[in-house]
Amino acid sequence: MSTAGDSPLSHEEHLDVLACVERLYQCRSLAAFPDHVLAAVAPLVPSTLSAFNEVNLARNRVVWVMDRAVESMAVIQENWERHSAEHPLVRYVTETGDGQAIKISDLLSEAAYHQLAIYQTVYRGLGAEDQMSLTIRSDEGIIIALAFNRRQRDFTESERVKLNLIRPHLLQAYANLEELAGHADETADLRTALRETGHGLIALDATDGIAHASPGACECLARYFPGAEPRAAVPADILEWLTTDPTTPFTRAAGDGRLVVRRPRGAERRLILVSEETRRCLPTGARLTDREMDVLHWLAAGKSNAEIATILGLAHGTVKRHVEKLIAKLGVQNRTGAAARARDLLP
Amino acid sequence: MSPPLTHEEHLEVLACIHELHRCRSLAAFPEHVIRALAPLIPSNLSAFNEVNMPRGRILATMSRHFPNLADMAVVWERHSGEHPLLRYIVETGDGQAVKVSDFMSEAEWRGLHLYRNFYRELDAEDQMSVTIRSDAGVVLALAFNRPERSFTERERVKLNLVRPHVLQAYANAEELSGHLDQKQDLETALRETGWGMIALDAAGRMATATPGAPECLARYFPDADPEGPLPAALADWLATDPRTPFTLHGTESTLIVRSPRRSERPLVLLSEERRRRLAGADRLTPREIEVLRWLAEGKSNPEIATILGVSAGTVKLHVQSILAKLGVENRTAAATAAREHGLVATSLRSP
Repeated sequence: MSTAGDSPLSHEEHLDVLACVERLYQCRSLAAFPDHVLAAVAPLVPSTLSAFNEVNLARNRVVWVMDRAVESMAVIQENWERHSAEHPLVRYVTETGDGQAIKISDLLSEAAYHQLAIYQTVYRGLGAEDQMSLTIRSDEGIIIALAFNRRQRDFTESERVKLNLIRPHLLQAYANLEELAGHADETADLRTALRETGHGLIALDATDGIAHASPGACECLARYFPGAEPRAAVPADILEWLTTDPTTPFTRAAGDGRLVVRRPRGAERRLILVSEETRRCLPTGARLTDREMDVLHWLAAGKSNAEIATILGLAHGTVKRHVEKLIAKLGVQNRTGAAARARDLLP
Repeated sequence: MSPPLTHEEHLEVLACIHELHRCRSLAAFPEHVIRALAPLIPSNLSAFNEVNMPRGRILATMSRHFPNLADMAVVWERHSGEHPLLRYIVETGDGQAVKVSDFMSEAEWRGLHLYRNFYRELDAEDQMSVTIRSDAGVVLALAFNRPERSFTERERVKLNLVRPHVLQAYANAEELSGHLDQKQDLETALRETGWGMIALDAAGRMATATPGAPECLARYFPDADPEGPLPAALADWLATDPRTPFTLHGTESTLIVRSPRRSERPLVLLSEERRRRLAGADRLTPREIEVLRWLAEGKSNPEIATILGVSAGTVKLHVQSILAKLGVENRTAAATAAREHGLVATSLRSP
């Protein structure tokens, strides 16, 4: 429509650049970045074949992604590596350190290009009569570059300008995703660690909604709050407990297990640390009654049968029978043996 | 019909977008966005208004500092129903750039209570605003004020061009902050369980650790490089028998190391069990500690005698001495006390 003065791009071309830049920053993972970039840049610089090359030694990533499937890729890659030293664009970037958009036709005549082994073994088969490349980054350990191939020498100066305009944004988007990936990895590690210690975590947002929850934490709550939907909202009893003394855990027994909910100290947000204590199976397969658990508790505390009888308000003979059954169920020889197991069994 | 921008103006827009995406956290976003937009739309006062209910953020950030911001907010809210730009967005839902001078004459603007009680003092003779987002829980808007009616159509075009990018940058900053918050929450939770964590990278070097974990490791392996590989003993254990916890006894405490079964990267969890001093325990002889350990395992005196190769009478004397030194009434209490105080941290294997 309009080209203001000697502007290298029309207003519409500038809008294309802005649309491409917007798409670049929409990518949400490092893994998706190569395909995402090729799709975002394709409308800007149409080509018969485009490629995203990435070497990230720290992350152990060596990626060569094309916008379409290419036959006998392994052979092409092998030939490319064998002859890459004569690639005019690779040589240019290596010698000058300049990563701006550059094309083979800037550096070599058609005839000179056709003489190269890399043309004869790689590019001729791909129909690449000209190539324009953009080096996003080239420092120790990380190289990121884009390459566009065409059947004719018809890359325009405005296409070169467009690629150079998106270059800093490609670099920024990559750096942002790298940072995000680092945090995501650490978060996954911490989740694994927490699960290993037998805990789940639920964090509440400012409106009592669930900001994030570790898998299993909500399921654990669901076992103790039948009818509630802990994935959607934290049970009201726990929200109520959050307003009380922070050092006393919230507990609830159901079946053979006991839910223990704690609040970590020094948390900026309201955090709920969930764990479950299950009465472990006894070797004899038997289960202890609640009364036997009471007796075991006092026995482990070093109380005599007479003392336990007084504490629990039972006859001395009843306590004695409880202790005998305990010893039999636990498969131990004496009351000291029973006390040794108490720590594993008592909630 | 809006005028097309020059190449140089497009470069300014692109530079502004680049600056927006360099923001590294939601906390820094308001000041960052104000700074990024300043070269594009010069003004004597600009503001970024943010309401994010889930995150509990209600913020009005200005390009200048006002000590009496709270009082100002009260005045603004009292008269905000008169605000022509606010009324426009509420009525139409259109978030594109609009200015006060689009809707009313200078005289009409100056007739508003909102102007007389609020904007006059700020020299705001015209205001251009753009609403980035406006849905149930989140409202984001930018406002620029000038002492004269001088906003141009080109400036309106620029503001509309960066609008989707401000939204994208906010979403990205929110996502990054979400990860950072989660990381912090999980670290706090893990600390509460008494465990620390060290993650290894592809080359087996200690890459990331929770606060305190490297220091804990250093107490048992003083020569370990905190950014190098795991100490040899731990590396061997991890390679051969990671399912059985690794323990190492120090002078007053024991290091316990575990490795989670299902993890994407190799991880080690560290915990330290401090052997609390039991009253009288330091006066126990090595033989008495040995007897106490078997006693705590539930062994009878004759069994302990057989295990230790001494007479039953000797064991009985040892037990009596242990009870006296610990100040407890019977062997069960001695076993429980010993266990609770970590005096018998190591589990013995029956012969």
